[in-house]
Amino acid sequence: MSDTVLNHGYIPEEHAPDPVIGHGDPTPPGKVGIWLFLASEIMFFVAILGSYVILRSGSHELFAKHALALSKPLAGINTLVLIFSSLTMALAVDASQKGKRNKTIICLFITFLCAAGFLGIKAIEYTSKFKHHTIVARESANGPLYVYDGHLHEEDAASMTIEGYRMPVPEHGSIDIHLISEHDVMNGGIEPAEAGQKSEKAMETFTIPKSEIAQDIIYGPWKNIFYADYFTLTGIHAIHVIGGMFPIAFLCIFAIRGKLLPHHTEYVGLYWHFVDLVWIFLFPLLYLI
Amino acid sequence: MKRYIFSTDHKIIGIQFLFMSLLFFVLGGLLAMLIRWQLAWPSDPNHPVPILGQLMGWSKGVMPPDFYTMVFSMHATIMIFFVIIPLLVGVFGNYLIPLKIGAGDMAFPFLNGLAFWSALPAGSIILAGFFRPGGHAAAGWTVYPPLSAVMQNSGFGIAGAQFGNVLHPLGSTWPMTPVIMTFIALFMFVAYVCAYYVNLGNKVLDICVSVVLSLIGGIVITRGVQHAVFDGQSAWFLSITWLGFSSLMGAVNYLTTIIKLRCPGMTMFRLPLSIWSLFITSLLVLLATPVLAATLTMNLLDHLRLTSFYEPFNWVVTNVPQENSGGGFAIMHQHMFWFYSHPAVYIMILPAMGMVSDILAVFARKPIFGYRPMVYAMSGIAFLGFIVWAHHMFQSGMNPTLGTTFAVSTMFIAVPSAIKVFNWLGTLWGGNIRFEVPMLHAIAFVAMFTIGGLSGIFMASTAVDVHIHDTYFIVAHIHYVLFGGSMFGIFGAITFWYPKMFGRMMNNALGHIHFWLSFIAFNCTFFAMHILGIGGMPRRVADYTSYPTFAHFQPMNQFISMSAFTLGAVQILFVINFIGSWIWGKKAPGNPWEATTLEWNDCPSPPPHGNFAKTPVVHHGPYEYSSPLVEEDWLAQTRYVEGAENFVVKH
Amino acid sequence: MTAHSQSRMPEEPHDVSRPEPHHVVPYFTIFIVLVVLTIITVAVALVRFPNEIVNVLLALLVATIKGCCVALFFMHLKYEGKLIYLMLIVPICLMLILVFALIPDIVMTDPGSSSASLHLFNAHPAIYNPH
Ligand code: HEM
Ligand SMILES: [Cu+2]
Repeated sequence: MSDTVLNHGYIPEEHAPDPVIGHGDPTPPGKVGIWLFLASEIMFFVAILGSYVILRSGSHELFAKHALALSKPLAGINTLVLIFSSLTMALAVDASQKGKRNKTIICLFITFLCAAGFLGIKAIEYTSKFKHHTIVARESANGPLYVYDGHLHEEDAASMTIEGYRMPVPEHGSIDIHLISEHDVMNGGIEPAEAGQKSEKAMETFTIPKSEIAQDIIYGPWKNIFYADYFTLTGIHAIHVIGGMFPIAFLCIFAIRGKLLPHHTEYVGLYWHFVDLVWIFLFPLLYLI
Repeated sequence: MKRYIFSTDHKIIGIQFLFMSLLFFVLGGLLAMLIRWQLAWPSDPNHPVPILGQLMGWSKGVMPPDFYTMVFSMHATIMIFFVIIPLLVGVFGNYLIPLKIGAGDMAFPFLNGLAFWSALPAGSIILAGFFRPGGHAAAGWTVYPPLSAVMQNSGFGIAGAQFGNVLHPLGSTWPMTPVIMTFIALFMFVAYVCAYYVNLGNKVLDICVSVVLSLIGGIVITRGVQHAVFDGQSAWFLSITWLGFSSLMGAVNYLTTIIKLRCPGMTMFRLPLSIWSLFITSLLVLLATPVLAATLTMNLLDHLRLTSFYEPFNWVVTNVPQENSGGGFAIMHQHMFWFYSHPAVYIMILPAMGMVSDILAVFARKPIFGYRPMVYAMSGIAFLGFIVWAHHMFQSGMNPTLGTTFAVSTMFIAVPSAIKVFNWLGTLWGGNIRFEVPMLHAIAFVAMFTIGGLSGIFMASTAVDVHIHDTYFIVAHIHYVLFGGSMFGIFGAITFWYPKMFGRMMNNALGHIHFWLSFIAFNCTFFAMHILGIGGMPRRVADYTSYPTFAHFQPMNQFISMSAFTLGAVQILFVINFIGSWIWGKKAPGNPWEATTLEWNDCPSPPPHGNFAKTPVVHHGPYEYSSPLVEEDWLAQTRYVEGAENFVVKH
Repeated sequence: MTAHSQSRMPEEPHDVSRPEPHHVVPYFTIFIVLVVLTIITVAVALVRFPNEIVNVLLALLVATIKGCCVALFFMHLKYEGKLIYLMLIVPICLMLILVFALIPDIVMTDPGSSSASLHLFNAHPAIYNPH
């Protein structure tokens, strides 16, 4: 180190002689923390969505065909529910910052209800998928082999009743029940899906003797990679919703007990909007395109 | 109780992490010895594996190949995830950040404690994996599918046709030891939360309720874990994902603390480089770990046969068609995994770089050479670290276009690395060097990291990598950067901050002996691996002598093994020194090394709860050594000097 | 831990003043916009343009607009300092890097060549796969 004294020009901060008091940014630590957490959440979803994008571009047909079996109306309603809950959450934050206790309580409560409603609708969707079977079976012993695809209507010890479609198993080759979709069976063959076009064929009811079932699979995540993505993405999102319900409930209880926590409400609000934001992207990616 | 066990004091949490990871270091080291035994005398009945051979009842005491596979997988896993990352980030991140920035504690002390108490269950689950009938995970630390999706329990090749199969209580085959271990860890985890959140107004009542809650919580979660962990690989996934959450909590905390809690005068560019490195590392943890968590979650789902993100179409294992639907993309896993794990290797070296910079400046009695370039180089490494991941995948079958791109970006990363090396050398140049034990370790760090970095450049070139990929050259590289780099850095840091942590000086003579023996044994062990690698010796092969081409490597391997056993044995000296000094060491003064930073000058050794008696005010940068402003050759950051404003020094 | 801070019941940070909502955020307007945009995407999905790429891009565009609305107004990003923007830009860049770097592996592979890494379902044109 030399002894040169500089009285002019640029002095690097680390050598600047005077303490710099305060660091300029008014953001409270909690907010920095929650935004950092959200940044890492972004990366989490990016990884799963990235895998979705890749798998989808690798098997576009499959994704397009199977996406048709998802319920657009239910998901649309769910989107609205979540957007609405986001609105009430924002209002709750605003109210608690202004010290309006009653409005805070009401808004938080509605948010909580919306979250529960969202999960309820999600549960309906899931159960409908778990009741959706693809079955390769004969109608009767020695009869022709069919592929059935539809929702389980009734089940007893000897037979299953399915509401949906069926098509004969082709003479040559074999069928992979993981890949075949409702759309294929409805059209009676495997042809490229004209995306978005669900033809108007009416459903029928079939009774299948259990003894004649060769293969049976439900529309669970193991059905194929589309459903793997669908269940993983929506499942993880649902876990985030559940994770958000607890703090919202606590905030609500505290507000009822007379303690408004404007900072905490704001942080929970940020998280909640993020959950909403994720759904805003999941909805078109899974259901619409 | 709350003071020492469920403490939220960052110093205690740091020391808790220290003990946890040193215990794992012992375990990982023993596994390494096993690897070396097998490689010195592969499946040789004349050299049965001592003790373990009899314990396990192996015929003639010879290690079976799949056991070897498990051993090297777990050696890497434990060393990376449970030793180096917790030591660097968990221990020194916790211990140093508040002390060096002049804060009383972390921004979120409770979260900080939670990070430790959730790292513990992760540790116990990874240990529990060893007790599984099918053995622990054996797909390497990189868990490439479809290998990692193979079920390890014979008899559990079940398709995910029904949910029920997957959640069947297979966990009931757990032996008692891991159950108790996991239960204790989870009990403590819940108890920690209860200790701060159960508040019914009556102390006795609180304790009773907490104990009951922790019992219930512990039992329920242990049962859950038992169900989810039905073989070693699933234990692996669960544990590492869990650990990921723990490091995320830590990272959010460190970043917020550094951004918000610096004391007056402590501007960003007056932070010691160790804090800068931890800051940048935390950013890497924050942004890379979630990707790992996501990947491992998907991989775990695949392993459970619920999905097939990474499983190919018509996938057959040892002639048994697997019942996954298939259609996944195995290379995608490699992309995602390395998108985490390349930044992770920088998570494993940046803090060591920062701490070594501090140590070098202290013992060279000179300001660090090029403080700002150091900061920018670390930021550059962190950024580039995110865009080089595919250099691990040159041979994976990915698009060759990517190969070239990533080869180029990998070469770029050598630039900031070289800047750092030259700055360290510049710091030493003309310094008034004191060869204390931490300094020796720090200098070894610089030298070893340079060798490791240079071998990295070899492998970064796609054409060369065709030859040396998956050979012992890679093993040499990773050990030069991870043992030679990170571990020497860690040893340096432990010996440097030991007086502050425990208030005692470490034994100097023992420290020197430990350093020199380690240094020599280390180089004998790992330098020779370069030669093996160039010769083509494959890594991850249990018995290379069964291939005539490789059989002539045995003498070299025996030499390596001998050196490795020495290296392992020498660490006992460190343990003795560590424990012995704690009991008999002489009392440490507040500032034994005559350093400038806050933890040495503004609090005693060890610092009390709350760290500083009053909020310190910082007047100088962290490296004002040999300053002409004062008599002594160090100018503490908080020491106010009259007239300093007229006396800004250029170097 | 000092003796008096026994429990960690939520407590407002004392060094920071109570946050004043100094901005009038048009929450309801934003909500209406979001609802309208949702209806638009659903409508587009039902009607569909002949070109699949247009559909995808349109859906993503609308989603992005909605996302920006939520982030800017509900999450008050519009009123935040540069610190928070800084924290957001990094993951967004990384997201782009990750996705774009993977594209050559999927799109640019020629199914005939050995480097065609992606043999997903489309590579097997039919569901009839002879075992
Ligand atoms: C100049 C800097 C570096 C370069 C150019 C570099 C380059 C590489 C390359 C190309 C590979 C892949 C070799 C192969 O599998 O064929 C590799 C592997 C590896 N590197 Fe580095 N590296 C550098 C620094 C580091 C550092 C600082 C660390 C850790 C602290 C590290 C840890 C590793 C590990 C653990 C592996 C092996 C992973 C495995 O396959 O198990 N590297 N490095
Ligand atoms: Cu790498």
